Amino acid sequence: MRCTEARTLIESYVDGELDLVRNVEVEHHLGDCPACTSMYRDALDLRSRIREEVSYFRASPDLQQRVRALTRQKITEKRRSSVPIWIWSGAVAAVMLLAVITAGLVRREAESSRDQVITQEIVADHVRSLMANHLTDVTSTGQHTVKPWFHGKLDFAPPVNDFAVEGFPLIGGRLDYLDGHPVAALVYQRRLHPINLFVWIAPQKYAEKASPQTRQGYNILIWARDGMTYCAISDVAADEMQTFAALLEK
Amino acid sequence: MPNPERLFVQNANQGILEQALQELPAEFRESIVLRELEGLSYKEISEIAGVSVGTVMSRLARARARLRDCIAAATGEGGLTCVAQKLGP
Repeated sequence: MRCTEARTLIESYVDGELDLVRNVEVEHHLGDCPACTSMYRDALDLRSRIREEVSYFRASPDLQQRVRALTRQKITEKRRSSVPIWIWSGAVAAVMLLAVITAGLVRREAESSRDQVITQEIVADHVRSLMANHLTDVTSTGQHTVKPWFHGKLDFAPPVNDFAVEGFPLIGGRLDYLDGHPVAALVYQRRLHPINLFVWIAPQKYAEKASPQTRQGYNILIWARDGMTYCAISDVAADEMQTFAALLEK
Repeated sequence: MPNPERLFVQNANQGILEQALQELPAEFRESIVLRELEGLSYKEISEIAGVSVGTVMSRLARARARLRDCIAAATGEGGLTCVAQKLGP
């Protein structure tokens, strides 16, 4: 890792917000670089000074209102997802049926909330890869260079293809971290726009046909095939993303 | 035994930081307070502020840079330690 990259990550490192891989990389870099270590100490110093010397700050009325609204929303969600206590009334069969339905709903809600967390992580990984100028660990347009690079780093072999002829050249790959596992991030390009394609092993819960989503201005497609889950994310237009996904589905 | 000089420096520092925080734009101050004083994660801050995690990261970075600048401007090039040096014999 170079100093320029490490410096963009130091604050997130201090805040404990880096994924495992980046965390280890920054740690290694700090062990070797006195200049970046000094910046790291400055960041720690500023944090401890704020915590020691600023004891209290009144939230603005606007912030108070937003926190209250969010708290109300969380309480409503919690009430909605809890199992109703109807033990005192109705027949046992009705209660059991209700319990089955409720359990299904709760499970579906939990799955949907987990999907949302994964999508959020995907967006964060994509944004971080662009911000930190750490798009690729292996930079190559050759699928025969990128694919072997993942050997020994992952316990599966992600399919790697170059679509330069179709207007989506492969520019490299990197190791990323998603949903508690290391994942392959293949990087393609559409004109000047990078496309991150995350590939990981997961129980097949997504459809084989890519389902589109939009989050924070990014177009996201998620699909699953052959025991692997694929997620493409970019600011490329939605129809071009579909074209890209169609190439991968071939 | 409390050292009067140290107490004086601490009080002076406290004033500088609070003033610097007060002078930050509201959204920057909000991010810093939620992160440093409330210990919220980027994601939690993003939910409260209604902005993306990327925006939270950018606000925090800019807020911290401004705090450092304000502190340096108030205390001299060397930052807060300059207050102690100026007060030295």
